Amino acid sequence: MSSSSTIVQEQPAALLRIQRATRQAFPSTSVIAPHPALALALARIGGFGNALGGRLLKIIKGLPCILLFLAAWEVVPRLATEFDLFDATFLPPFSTVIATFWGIVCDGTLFKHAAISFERSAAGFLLANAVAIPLGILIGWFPAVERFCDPILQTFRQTAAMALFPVFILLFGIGEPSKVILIYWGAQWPILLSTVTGVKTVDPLLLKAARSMNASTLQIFFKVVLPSAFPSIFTGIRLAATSSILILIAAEMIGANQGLGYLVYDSQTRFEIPLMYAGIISLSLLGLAVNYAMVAIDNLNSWNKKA
Amino acid sequence: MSTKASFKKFAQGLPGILTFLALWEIVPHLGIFNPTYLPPFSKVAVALWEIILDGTLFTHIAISLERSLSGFGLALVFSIPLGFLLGWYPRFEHFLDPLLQIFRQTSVLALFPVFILVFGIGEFSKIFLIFWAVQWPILLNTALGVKEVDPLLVKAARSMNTTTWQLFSKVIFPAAFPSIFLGIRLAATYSILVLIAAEMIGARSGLGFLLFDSEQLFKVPTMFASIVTMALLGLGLNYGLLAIGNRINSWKTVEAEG
Repeated sequence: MSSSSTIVQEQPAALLRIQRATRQAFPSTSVIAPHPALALALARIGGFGNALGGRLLKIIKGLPCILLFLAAWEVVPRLATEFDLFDATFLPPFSTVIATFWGIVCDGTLFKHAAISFERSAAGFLLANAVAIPLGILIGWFPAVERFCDPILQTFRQTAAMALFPVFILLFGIGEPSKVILIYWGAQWPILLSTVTGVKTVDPLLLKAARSMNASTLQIFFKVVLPSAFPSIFTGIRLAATSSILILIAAEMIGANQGLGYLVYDSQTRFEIPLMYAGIISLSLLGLAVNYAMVAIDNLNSWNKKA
Repeated sequence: MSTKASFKKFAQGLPGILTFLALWEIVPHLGIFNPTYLPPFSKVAVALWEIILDGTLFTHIAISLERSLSGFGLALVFSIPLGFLLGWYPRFEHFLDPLLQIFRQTSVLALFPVFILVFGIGEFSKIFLIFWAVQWPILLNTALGVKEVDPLLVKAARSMNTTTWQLFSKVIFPAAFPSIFLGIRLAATYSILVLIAAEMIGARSGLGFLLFDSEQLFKVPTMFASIVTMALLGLGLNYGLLAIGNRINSWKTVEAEG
């Protein structure tokens, strides 16, 4: 009894951490917080609301700059034609580009290309998640596997995905599979590496606390390792989403006859400049949407940052 | 990481690499894939040796390096000062941030056609593409590094009556350097990806062109040889930058994530 009280005095922080960790890991055994799920849900809603308000404020603050940029895009080409500064065919005013954009939205061209691009990147991206997360957990969990695989993984990771596109074309043909595999290949590295890091850096205290309460390996895995590795895994997923778009565009520029990347490249070679800019705008909207979707999903995970 | 530790790590990883190379040698002989499309490692090594000997490889590497280094240099000169401004003046950052986010999310390669139109099909459009791609990690990490300088350090320096220039060169820059360098490392990896894509899409020389061209001409071993070269180049660049970073940052331990 006395010895346990000295421990409390010596390491109150560590003990509190264990308590909190066990409460997180095994909510059902907790006596202190009767409705942890409810508290969590409330905190989640609160955090999400705050984040939303903050973002709205941020957007309003940034609006002047975007408007200024669009105004410059509108005015500069017109001035250029007026005073013969440079050839405005290469930089049509914003209104022309938006009109073209609206045109391809209405006649369904944009939707057709976007659907194909989306199909490719989603397939590759999901494949990357399905392969890289289990593999990353395996590598992170067994140090021997990591030591064995690490140099080869580092070499592959440093090989730019685009370099392997010709190989994939040779092996899988010029159809859809080669593009999907290329996106899978490019997207898997961030996921794999951050899963490994996440699993490796699980707080040993959490593991020990769970073990000392006689949790089975399966329980430790699902209740401790996976939740605490999740933020890191998610960072990898976000990076992968960004890089899958980059690779998608490159692949569609090099070898495709459909998709947004093809739309941009093709309109440039056919010298349909406003169409090219419209394609670029749709690509950048796609990038923004993916990024914000990822941030929003990440915010749902707010328990981890608040804890 | 010390040389000895990194050597030990390398030795531990050797079996993995050797297994991979052995598999690469054996699998084509098994006949699962058409061996024309997946030549064994020995053939690729021979092809690599040939392009080294006849100088083809070096011509292409030199051109690729020239492009990426020019783009990189341009990005360093432009983005680090801009990053300092963004990090130091919060209002400037609030103003510019949304636009920067939009540009950053616009995939670099989407802008390649624009750069070709504006700068022509010569070298400059490729250099500019690399500059554009590389500047984002550098810019954002510089701004982040400057924002996160310990206010105590700044206050301490101010209370000792330092000039703005001294404050900048003796406090802010050293404190922000690890973050800036992280940006540079991210940028280096990224620049290779973009360079290769650009050389595949529109170039007559460079490693990306060598790769694309040998695929078109169906010289499969040469194609694999150029891929191996790119992998080695990427690895070398990464470890080189890591070594430089560790040396410059020796006063501060950097979490060197490979």
